[in-house]
Amino acid sequence: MTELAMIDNPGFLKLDLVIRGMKISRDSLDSPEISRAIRLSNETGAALELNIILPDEVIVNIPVLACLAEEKPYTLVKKGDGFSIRAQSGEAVEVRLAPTPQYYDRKTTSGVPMVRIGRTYGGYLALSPNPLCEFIEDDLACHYCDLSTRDHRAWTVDEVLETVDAALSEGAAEYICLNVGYTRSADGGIALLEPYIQAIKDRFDVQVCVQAQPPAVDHWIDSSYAMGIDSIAYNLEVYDPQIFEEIAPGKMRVVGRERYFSALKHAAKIFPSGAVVSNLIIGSEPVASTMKGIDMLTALGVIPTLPIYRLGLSASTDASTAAQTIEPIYRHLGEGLRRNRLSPTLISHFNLAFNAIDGEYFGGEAPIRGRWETVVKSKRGTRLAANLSRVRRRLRVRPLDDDFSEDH
Amino acid sequence: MTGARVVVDTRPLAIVVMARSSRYFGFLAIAAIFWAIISFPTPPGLTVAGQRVLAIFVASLLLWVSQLLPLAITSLFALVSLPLSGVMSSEEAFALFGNEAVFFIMGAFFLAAAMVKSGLSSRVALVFLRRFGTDDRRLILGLLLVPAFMAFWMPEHAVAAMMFPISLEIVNSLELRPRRSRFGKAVFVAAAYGAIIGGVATFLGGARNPLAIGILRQSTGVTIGFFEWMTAVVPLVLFLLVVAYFLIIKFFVQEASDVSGAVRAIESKARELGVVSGQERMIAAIVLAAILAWIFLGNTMGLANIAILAVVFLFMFKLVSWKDIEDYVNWGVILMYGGAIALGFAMDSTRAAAWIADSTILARQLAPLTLLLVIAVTAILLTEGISNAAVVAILMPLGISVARKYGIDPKVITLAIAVPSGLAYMLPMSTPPNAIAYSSGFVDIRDMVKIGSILAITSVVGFMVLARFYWPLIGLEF
Ligand code: SF4
Repeated sequence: MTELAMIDNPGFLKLDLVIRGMKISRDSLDSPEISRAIRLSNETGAALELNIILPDEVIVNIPVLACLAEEKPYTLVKKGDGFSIRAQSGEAVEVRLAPTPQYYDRKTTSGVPMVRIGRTYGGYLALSPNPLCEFIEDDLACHYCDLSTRDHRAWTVDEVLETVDAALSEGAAEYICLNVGYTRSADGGIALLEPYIQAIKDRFDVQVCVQAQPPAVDHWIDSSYAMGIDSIAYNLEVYDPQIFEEIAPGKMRVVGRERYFSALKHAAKIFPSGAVVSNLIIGSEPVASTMKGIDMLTALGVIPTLPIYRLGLSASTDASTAAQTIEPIYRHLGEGLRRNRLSPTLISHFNLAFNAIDGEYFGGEAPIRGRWETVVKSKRGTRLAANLSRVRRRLRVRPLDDDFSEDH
Repeated sequence: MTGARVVVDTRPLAIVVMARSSRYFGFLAIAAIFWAIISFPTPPGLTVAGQRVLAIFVASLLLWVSQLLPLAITSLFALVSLPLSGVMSSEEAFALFGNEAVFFIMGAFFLAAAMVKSGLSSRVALVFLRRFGTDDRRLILGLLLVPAFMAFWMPEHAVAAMMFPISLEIVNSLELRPRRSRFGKAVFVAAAYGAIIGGVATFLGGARNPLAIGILRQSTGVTIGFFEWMTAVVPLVLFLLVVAYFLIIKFFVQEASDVSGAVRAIESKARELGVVSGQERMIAAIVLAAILAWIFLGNTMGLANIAILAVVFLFMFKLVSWKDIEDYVNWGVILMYGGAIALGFAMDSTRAAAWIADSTILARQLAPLTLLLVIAVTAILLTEGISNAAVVAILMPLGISVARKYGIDPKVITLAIAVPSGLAYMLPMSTPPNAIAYSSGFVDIRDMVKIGSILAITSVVGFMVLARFYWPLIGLEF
């Protein structure tokens, strides 16, 4: 595939940018958006990234500091009031920079920079309010684990609420995505998030997705839904058992691969269709194995998301080779979703990871695009979705109590 | 977290919506029926006021049976509907709430609260049980008779709740396994049926008895004395206890079991209570005095007056705190009875009840004994499905009209409704003692239905024999 074809196809461009990176031209560095991002990065010590909006509103996230000086196949250049990405061949495509949210400059009442508590990626605000993960303590951390983002105390509910409030009120995010590590309790760690989720749900009309490890007992999955989680991810990451153990030893040895499947299966019964998600990292195992994983997950009613930012493909990988790897996987994903009547509409907000929404760029189909997607992602649309989700929860969830009728 | 246990209904959403909104469809249907009765041309023999009361009665009946609202709230609805529909003034309606029966029930609850909180009730139960527990059959007899006797003097649900830890101690000490152990079933079934059967013996075992008396008195001016009630009903209670004992032994205690562990457990539980405190002695004295006063002075002093006076003494000697009372008393029941009595009175005074009696099967000239059988069977069947207090609230107004029509002593009809309505043996949801036995995990519904249905039939037969041959001897003619 030529660079021209690559740059004209937002999906491929995103893929290539993720694999091989991008540098920033000198004149771009002076632009207020980028200089602000750099200043914030220096002030807070937080690794800041640029969220770049490619044609078709495809968003890609690129770390800023890593790409200032190195030689890269793409360069972000200033073009009039805007920006464009220029390939080495000289071809260019106009892009926009997602504005760095204003709240990144603000601090909570307790004095913590809000950017440390939560960052926005495209449409969602990502938070890891409690850094605890017993895999890390037991030396069983996942190989891709970004420990550096977890070197903080547990944020208080008020600190998280202030940050969420700031992000939502300036329109920097429409969804909340909470991450939590693993604890050896029956809930598997989700209980650490409960106070935050309840407080967020009490205060805001917003959908909440959570990435966690499967709890030991199913009733905690029911409770997770009841506490206000709209979409849940138990990330398998790799289908092949040996590779799974290699890259996620804690998940394999403590939780167990089978538990991932059984928990995902139960969650798919409890959560709305399309709201249960699991990552399969493309490139970390043979394509055939990833495809088996897709078959397995979709048959359970789970939507596979296909991150490539932790891709086994190296920066030297030829983009078209990567594209060739990805193409059959996406086609397979599209078929799996169709066969099991799964719509990835609900997870369309995970727009930084690669998912079925990107399928159309790799020979598959886009399940939602155009007006419907605009409605789903609009402010009113997200509020409506949050309220519908609340109604569904009210209808479906009942407390389990033995209530003998009074009689005398 | 709380990890609050929840159930997520995973049926198709349309079905969930239907199931969840069925309650609102229920309200709509009841409102439609109410409206239909109100707007129908008034049939001959029924007054306009009677027609309105009838509509309120039918709506209340449906609400009581369906339990779409708590029983007490339905009663309050009935109470306010009377003035709102112009049947009587607000003053009249609310004055009916101040019926003597309501205050008697309240006083009886207060006394029971003092007995439970002080540990007196448990002590009495253990003292008596110690005398029985030498072999397995005697232990079962004790577990049947002790709650039966206790339910003479305090609400049967309180007796069942008090017996539960004792029964649990017994099965644990014998290392019996839930569901499997037949002796374990016998232990819990005996305690439940003892409380149920004993609960019909006096006004104190179930507040439905004073409710029936309250409606009787409000509508006819006639009443039944505490001793008179006991004289009429205790023989049936004794007969049913004997039958229940043999049924339990036949079904659950075929071969002899060693119960020495249970005897030791009862002994140690009794020891745990320590010596009888002054507080317990005083409460016992006051309760005993109240019982004697109810028996000998009930007609002159008034049952409610005696109950409330006894409560005043409890507080005078600081034997119970207001907090204890607040926690223990089922205030909903008190509210329920006030409304039910007002509705019963309105049914009678507007002749709505008489109209129903005239236009149903009851209009046919049945033999009085057959009529009694119809009423008793209706009450005992209804009480399996709905609250026994609701059965009394529904049947009493009709019963009083029928009594007038047939020229039968209304006391007889009152007993024919109130006694069978207290005898719910078959289902866990029928009455709290059954629910408590079921919650032990030892007893399953099949056990209850099997033994309970035989006991229900025996109860009706026993009741009829008593009514036919014994009641005339004590002046209850029909
Ligand atoms: S589960 Fe794995 S990725 Fe997540 S915090 Fe623990 S070690 Fe890191």
